[in-house]
Amino acid sequence: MNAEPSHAHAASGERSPSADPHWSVTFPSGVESLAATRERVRQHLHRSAVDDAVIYAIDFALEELAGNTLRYGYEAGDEGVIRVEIALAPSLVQLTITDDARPFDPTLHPEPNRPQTLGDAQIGGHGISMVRRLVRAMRYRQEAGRNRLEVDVARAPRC
Amino acid sequence: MELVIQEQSKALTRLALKGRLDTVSVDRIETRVNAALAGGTHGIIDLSEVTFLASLGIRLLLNAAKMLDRRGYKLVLVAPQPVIEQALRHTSLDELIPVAPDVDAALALLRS
Repeated sequence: MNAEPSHAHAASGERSPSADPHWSVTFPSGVESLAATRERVRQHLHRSAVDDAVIYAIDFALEELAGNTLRYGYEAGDEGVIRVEIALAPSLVQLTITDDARPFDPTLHPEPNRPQTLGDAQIGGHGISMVRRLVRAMRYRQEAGRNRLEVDVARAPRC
Repeated sequence: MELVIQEQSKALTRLALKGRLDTVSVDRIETRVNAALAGGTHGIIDLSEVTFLASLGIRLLLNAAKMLDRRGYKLVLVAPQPVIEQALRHTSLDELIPVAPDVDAALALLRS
């Protein structure tokens, strides 16, 4: 499996990604591929002068949401394709994740229980809840048989 | 992600995690963290140089605390950066695993 993501738009080499308000990358399903893609996304956002807190939120959402798709969305041995798009606007950064995994709407995922003791604490189920804390909005729909998830992260107003 | 074993005595195991605690790094270090904490002592994990904490990192910390709790020992987390502290608070992990500002405060919590 190729761990290096392939660029759909950003790697033309003729135009700085920082100048492009719409940037995307497609990568094969795999944890190492996701890690490499997250690095590319962080680099793009840094070059685009996006604040560190916004970069953290986008990176976190990508880790958790695309990570869930990799862990639970594909059968063993499946080789899926995940597309990540970043759109920069003055007031927000929008992350769009499109994949061909089994349908899953994370916006409907319930909040985990608040445990009273270590023994009661559930091990998993925190990721989507943690994403909700960091982002302004999440929207899910199915489009041509693919999952499409849009995540808005607010940018701090510039003085 | 780097795991540093800072102290392993008869009474205490003190570890430090450094870097990004995400899917790839948790896969690489979780077994080593659990092995380091399995010696029958209280545990301290210094988080001061952790810059990213994903849900799998929360799982790693929770698993470690549960393992120690089952054996009658405590885990204390030390000096998380603000963004990490927010994640601990949001997941209520800070209500289950004590968080101390420094090692001396962590030792005091373990003695109490």
